[in-house]
Amino acid sequence: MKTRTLLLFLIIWQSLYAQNQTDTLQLPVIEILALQELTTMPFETFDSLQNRFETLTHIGQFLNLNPSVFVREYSASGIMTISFLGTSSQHARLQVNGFPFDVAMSSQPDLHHAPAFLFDVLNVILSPKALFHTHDAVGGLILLASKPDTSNNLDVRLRTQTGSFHTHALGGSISFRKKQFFSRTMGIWQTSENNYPYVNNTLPDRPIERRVNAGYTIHHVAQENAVYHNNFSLHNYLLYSSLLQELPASLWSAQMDKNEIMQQQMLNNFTTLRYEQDRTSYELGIHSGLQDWTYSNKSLNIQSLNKVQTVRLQAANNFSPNKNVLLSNQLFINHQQVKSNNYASTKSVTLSGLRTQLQLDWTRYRFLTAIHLLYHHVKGFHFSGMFGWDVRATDKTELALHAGQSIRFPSLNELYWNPGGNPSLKPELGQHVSFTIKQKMLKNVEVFSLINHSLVNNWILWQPTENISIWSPANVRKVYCQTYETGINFNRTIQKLFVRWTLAGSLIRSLDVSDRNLPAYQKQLIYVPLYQASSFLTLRFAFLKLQFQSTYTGKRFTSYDNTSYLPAYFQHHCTISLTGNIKKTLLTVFMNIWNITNENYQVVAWYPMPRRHYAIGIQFNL
Amino acid sequence: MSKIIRIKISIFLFLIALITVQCRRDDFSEIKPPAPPPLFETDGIWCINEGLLGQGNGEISFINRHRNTISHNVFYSVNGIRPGDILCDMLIDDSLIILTVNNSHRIWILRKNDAKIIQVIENVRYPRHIAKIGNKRYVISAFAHDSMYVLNYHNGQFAVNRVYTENPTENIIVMNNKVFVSHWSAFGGSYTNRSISVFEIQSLAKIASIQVGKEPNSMVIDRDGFLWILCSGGYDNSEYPTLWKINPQSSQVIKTYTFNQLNSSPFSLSIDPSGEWLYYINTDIYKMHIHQSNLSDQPFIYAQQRNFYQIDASIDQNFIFVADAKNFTLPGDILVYDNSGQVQQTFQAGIIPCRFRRHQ
Repeated sequence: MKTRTLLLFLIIWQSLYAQNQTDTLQLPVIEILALQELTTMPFETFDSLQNRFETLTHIGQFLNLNPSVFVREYSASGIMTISFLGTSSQHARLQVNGFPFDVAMSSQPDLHHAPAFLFDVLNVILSPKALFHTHDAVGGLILLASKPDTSNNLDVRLRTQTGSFHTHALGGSISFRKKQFFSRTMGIWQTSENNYPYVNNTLPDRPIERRVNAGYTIHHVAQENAVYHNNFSLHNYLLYSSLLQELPASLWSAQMDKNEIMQQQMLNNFTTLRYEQDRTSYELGIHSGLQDWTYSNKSLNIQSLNKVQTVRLQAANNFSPNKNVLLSNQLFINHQQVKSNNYASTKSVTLSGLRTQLQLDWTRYRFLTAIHLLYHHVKGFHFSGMFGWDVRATDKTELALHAGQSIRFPSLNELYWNPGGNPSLKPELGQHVSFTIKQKMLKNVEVFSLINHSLVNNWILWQPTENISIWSPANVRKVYCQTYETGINFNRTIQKLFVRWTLAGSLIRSLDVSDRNLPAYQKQLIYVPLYQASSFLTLRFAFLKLQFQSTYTGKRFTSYDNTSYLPAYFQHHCTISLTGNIKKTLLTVFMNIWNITNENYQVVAWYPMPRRHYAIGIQFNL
Repeated sequence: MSKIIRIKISIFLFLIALITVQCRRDDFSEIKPPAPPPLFETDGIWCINEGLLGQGNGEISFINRHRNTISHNVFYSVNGIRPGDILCDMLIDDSLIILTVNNSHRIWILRKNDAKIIQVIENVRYPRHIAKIGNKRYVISAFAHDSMYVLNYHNGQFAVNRVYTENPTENIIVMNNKVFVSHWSAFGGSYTNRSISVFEIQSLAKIASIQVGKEPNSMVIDRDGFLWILCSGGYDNSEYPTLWKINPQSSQVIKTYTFNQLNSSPFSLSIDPSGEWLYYINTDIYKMHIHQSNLSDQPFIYAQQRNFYQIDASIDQNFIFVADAKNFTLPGDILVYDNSGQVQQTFQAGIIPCRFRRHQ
């Protein structure tokens, strides 16, 4: 009782402190060794073969539910970036089957190339816990993994949908398992004219116009094979994705024939060879990838051609002397080479490193620690690490305390973009600490809370030079991020009605603390919403399922001195599905309604988002 | 439900309520009401603030010389909407204000006495500078485009036509029934950007071309009727910057001044109302007489920590208006110097103040 009272007091104190604190620098930067969580927060794990088929589109739809995550979009399925805990999109990391996966030149994940449909497990891990897996997850890490099905011999699924703005999608999967061999082929095809109506609030009479030159076509093909023999297993995942987009113009030139097109193609192959014996396992992984992206502006006669080759080798050893100890070492070398007409010449970067992870379990406690020793062929030796302490204080209370240091090396664009690239950039260094608590209040009610503080030094920012037509990155910023998230999770089956509801909200302060003399001092970073909230309600009764998703995104400043901002907005979505068996086929008919209240909103200034729109579809599981 | 569980739920709900209630009111506010518009009395100075590319935060500010006050976001406060992305130039003629917005492909026609919108002209590609060539007839240069635009007033409205210029156009000077247009930009095509084109004022037929240095970025006319053109040498510093003195009648080059540093980029050539003293920015501000045989060695005004972005010595006999863009992302400053180079007044501007126009 006393422990619980103390914990609740801590939560209340932190919340009050967050609201009333004006001088955030009074908070000390806590450098303690943190603990890894025993359990994950809601919206962090989607581990279900069924869930994978609930959408053919990108995982941004899931990430939006997490109030510590901000998904920035320029239009429906347009360019999209994510940021965690008030950091930037370049501080988010994405891994596929244990390998880093991002757009190499800008060093940020593009969610279009990793749709939920092609994977089985989605984990969202916020920093500093994410530093257990990688050195540069300054904000957080998205882990996508495929899990070969162990049960079915043959599984065939087909999903098709059509919707507003001439949007059509088709996805399918065939998987086959025979003794020690597994194979799965998946594919997605999507196309849309994306010609949604919007209110043009840049003109006096505010006309309703329709988007032009905003269409896109997406293809994904994945081939997964796995072989198991005695103590060996070989897993291969080949992923091809192609995205052709017309880049919509901002409202200022929405009706002009701007004719900007971007085409991205990615081909990646992930191979892992694993050997297990007794308490030891060895892994050898190879990732080879090709990225090709082209930007063209026919009005201005500009073309940007970019090709990237990636090769990564990693070798790991996992040793568990007893059931309470796990020690893992990984050695890797990652090489990327870019040929681009935006660089003066062909450029390459090599990063190698050694990662050591240790996990200790003792009664109700778990200790985790990881150290990354890195060598960047331009920036030299660096290190990062974390440690954490998880405790199951009681049967109903779980606590976790983590801390760590991150390091993000400058991206290829930041180093070599011509003109403006800055080869003398320093890596960004971050210190992070977080505390989470999960408390079961009733049998079906769970309350959770997260507090996260981060301080990032040498933050890289592109800014105009003396020649205003040339922008150049520099290590000019120091940013202090505070995140306070709290929520409630409810699960109950009332007779035959299953109800699950998660409600969460966050306050994120992301403050520029670089220079007291600048107007931006202690002002919120642009495009970091101060408040976010989400609600996700699922109702399931027999063959009927209803899902209601609501998100609130607070005000976002669009100037560094916080004198101008985009207003807050609500988003409400709904999915209705009916599932039934026809002979041996599982059939699902569904309907999605997005932006139910027809909100006219912008995520990025001057890029209106779609108002109310629909999709219907059908799914077969054979 | 047991008492303890009710207490826990109550504490949690209280926690949620506390977070909500404790929030500052302005965290939830929508767009703040705009400031009241300024009084457009005579002897005012307009300042055009470009804004940051893609942000749509360009605006116009008005300095009331009598009250020594400045009003910001005038366009928004009067009209309730933003003017656009990258404001470029303003021309005040009779009862009208014409405002070009480069990256919004728009031209605003405003009423001079209250800045209210009369007409908006859209789909004009990258409009830049404006010059008057007749009664309610104007020519507008265009960036990244091989034409310039002609604005004609007809039946109560302005209509726009295009005139082919071969290369993108920038600065415009009208004199002696001729229109002199500089070709500064080579962006968006295989254009050349080291010449001045001369057009006949009525027909706008091209009648001459004058070769100068790379990237002519500003032009003025002196009291003797000569045309002065400042060339930066290229944004990539591929050539030495130059200053040209041209006879506009014969299109002959009278004199060329060459800067001695390759990596300098002089710009914003201006001349005082007497037509005698030239000013330009080359990090610092330089001043030279039109009859000087060499460029000035010493700056007239040292920049020190400032980032001079525009100078205008032509709008006031006794004062020089200078824009300090600072780091281009935050509001800049407007500095008012006297003729001896001393700061007399400082106003805070919008983001990237770039041009001044006299309101009278």
